Amino acid sequence: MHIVTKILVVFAAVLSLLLAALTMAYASNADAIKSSYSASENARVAAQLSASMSEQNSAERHAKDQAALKSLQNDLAAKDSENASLRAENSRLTSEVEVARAAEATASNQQKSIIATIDTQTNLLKKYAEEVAELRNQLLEGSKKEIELVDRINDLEAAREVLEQNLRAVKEQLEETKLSLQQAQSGGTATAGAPTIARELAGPVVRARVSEVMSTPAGDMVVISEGANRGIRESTKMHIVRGTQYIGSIEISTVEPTQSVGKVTFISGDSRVQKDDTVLSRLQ
Amino acid sequence: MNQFGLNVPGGQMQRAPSMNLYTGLLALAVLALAAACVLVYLQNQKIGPGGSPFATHAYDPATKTFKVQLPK
Repeated sequence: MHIVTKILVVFAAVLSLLLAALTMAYASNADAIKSSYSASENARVAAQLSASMSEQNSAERHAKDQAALKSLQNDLAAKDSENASLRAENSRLTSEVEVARAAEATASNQQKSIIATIDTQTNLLKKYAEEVAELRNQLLEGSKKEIELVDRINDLEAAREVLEQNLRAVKEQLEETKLSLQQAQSGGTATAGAPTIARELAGPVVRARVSEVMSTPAGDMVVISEGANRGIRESTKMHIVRGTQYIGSIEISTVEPTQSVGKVTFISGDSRVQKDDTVLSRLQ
Repeated sequence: MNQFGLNVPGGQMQRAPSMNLYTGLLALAVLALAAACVLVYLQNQKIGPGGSPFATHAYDPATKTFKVQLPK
């Protein structure tokens, strides 16, 4: 065998070993890369699916977000309008507050002036109360003096009436004495137990009122408002008038200190005695 | 002694080997192997881990995948 052939055989063997090693490494790496590529492809498909699902979800979320955005924009517009109205309300309320503060200041001033007026009026009322108390005391003292004077006047009036009655009695006794004297001069004698003749009162005219009218079988009886205190006695003749009209005459049958009872002895025409008619001791 | 050109009696005449057809085929095979080695070497540099033509990518039994580290 030629030496060249031998060398070529050696080279061929070495190159064969080298090529075998390189081929095995290449095959192994190719298989690793292929399996890695497959895994990457699967991962890519899964990622695409996930991305598509995420895209769908994001689209739905985007739609929801758009709807929410529109709703929020509407709310924002409503809030803006509400904010504007609230600002207007705020400005109006602020102006009202200013007005109210001014009114409060005015009211405070008025209150101060009213308080001062009240104090002044309170002082005046105190003074008036003191004056009223003093006047009441003076009035009370005056009333006491008046009562004392009235009592004294009443005492004097009673004494005067007593004196007038005494005077009247004396005058009646004088008239009776004159009548007896006339009868004696005329030669007649007075008959004892003869009926008493009604006659008018002498002296000043006594004025009274009809306080009651009573109808009895014996005739109308009249109660008048004066009695023995004014000199009225039994069998006294008195006259009843109403204004300027003559009504009739009565004869006193019963006498009490402050009232008397008389019987109607004469009636003018169709007249009737009424309550509150005037009774006079003598027609003027 | 024939290597010295001496012919001794009793000795057979030795002829030098010569290249023949098989030598040429072998040379052609050697060339083809060399070209294949170069080509595979270059391609293996592209896919080998870190550009190494004789290294292989590591296998991770936990994930049952290869840790491919291609050259930059």
